[in-house]
Amino acid sequence: MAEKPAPLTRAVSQPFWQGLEQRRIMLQHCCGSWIFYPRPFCPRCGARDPEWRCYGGTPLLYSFTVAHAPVSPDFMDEAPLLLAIVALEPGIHMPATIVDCEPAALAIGMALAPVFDAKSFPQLTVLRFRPYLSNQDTKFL
Amino acid sequence: MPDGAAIVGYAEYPATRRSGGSGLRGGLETAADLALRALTDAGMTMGDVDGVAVAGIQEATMFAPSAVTEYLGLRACYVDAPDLGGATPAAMVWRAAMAIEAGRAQTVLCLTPGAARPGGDPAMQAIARFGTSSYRPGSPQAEFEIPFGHLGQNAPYALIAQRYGHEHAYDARALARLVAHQRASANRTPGAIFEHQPVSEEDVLASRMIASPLRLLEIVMPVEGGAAVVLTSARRARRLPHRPVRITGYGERVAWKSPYYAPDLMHPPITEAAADAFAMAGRRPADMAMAQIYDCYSITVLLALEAAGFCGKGEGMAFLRDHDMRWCGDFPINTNGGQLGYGQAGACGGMCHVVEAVRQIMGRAGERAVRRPDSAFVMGNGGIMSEQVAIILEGE
Repeated sequence: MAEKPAPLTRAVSQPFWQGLEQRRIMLQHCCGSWIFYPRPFCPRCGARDPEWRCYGGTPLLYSFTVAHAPVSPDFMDEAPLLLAIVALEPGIHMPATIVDCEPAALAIGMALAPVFDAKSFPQLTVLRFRPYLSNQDTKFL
Repeated sequence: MPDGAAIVGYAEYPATRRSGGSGLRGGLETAADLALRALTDAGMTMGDVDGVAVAGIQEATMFAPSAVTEYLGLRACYVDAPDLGGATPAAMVWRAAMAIEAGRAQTVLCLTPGAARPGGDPAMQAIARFGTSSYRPGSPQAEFEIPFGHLGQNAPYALIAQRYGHEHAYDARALARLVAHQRASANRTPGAIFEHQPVSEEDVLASRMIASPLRLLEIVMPVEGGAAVVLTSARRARRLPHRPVRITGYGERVAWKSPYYAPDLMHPPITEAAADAFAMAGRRPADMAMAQIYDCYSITVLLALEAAGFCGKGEGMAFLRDHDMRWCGDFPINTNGGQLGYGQAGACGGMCHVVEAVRQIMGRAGERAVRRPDSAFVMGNGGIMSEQVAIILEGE
């Protein structure tokens, strides 16, 4: 397979995807917490069309694995793959991949920084994460 | 519940490598063969049957229950086709028990053929590329997971194992001990895929790292196989050949499809499912003579032991170090080797734990018989610890 399967985006999540084009993480917020993944309602209180805000928190590494065996035929060229669950805030998680990091340097609880990747998919900017280093600007791929 | 439901018979094929096969073709032929064998085992006939639960009927992507009732010549008052992944067999069994208890059915077949699909099957092509993740528009998996390599089972379970190691202590050797003990039981199980292959802790620890920290020998091997059980009322069971295996408690929780959004992966659904089952049965974990626990991965068993209350949170590794989990040990787990030792025949995988519990309680486990096999905790698991079932079985 020459190309990885591209994200199939939904109408409700367009503010998220458009935000990534502008190097921002736009997420819904309701009941005092972020919502992921985007939905037309708040999964906690049921309110319709939760408000979109720009996320400015510090994502932390909730878990990771180094996939030594290729995870599927589309990913034969990406082994080992650094797969992660990122905590946007306690209890609010999203799947992600880690870049610019040696596998041995991964540590649960480490602070992360967003990477806005416009190269991997022709139509979209996607979100990845790297270890947070205070002397680095936001990285654009 | 003095007059609830009981399992009164079973059938199980030996595990074979893919393309080994039983000579039977497809889901319908295999389901029918398993049904007839299980009924004969129970001392019953198809004429006694008024309910059927099915899974893995590859000939019918829709209307699987009626495809089976037609094939078997039944006019069923109760049918079921649960869609709970690996937890499907356990889910079938408790739903059938509940139907019998409620007087909605008298005798229910639970059929899980584990035949491979023919090459070129369109469903298999999607699975070959995406696993059981959905690449359909609208699925969060198509939007946030598959494009990034988040698919399949190995990496997701490894993510759970890594998190466990962060919150508690991770002892790879304790998990290797579990695998080696289960393999020792498999070595006494005719039909197990690894019947003739012992494995040591060192072998497990030296096996190839698949997704850290999970190694190859901690991961289940796909095989072909199949199994079935027959349930009827406890009252009727007393007139049949084998010791009735009563279903005295059950519970189920269905929490997520993907683990990536769960707020706490150390709180798996079996927690409440097991509490429900023990409360219904009026039993505690310490009352159980054995545990037959869904073991797609070693970590699944570890988390189930903690969450179901066999030990406290964070104590699972010590539990595995301190106990002998072989059929002859002080805490038998997966006495037929589990799926790690017997093999996972697709949708049938979880049924092997049910059948082994029944076999042991009926006193038919031969060379791997557990001492005083009067009760069993049976656990079903589907997805990524997504949906889990607990069943308590007790011999009369």
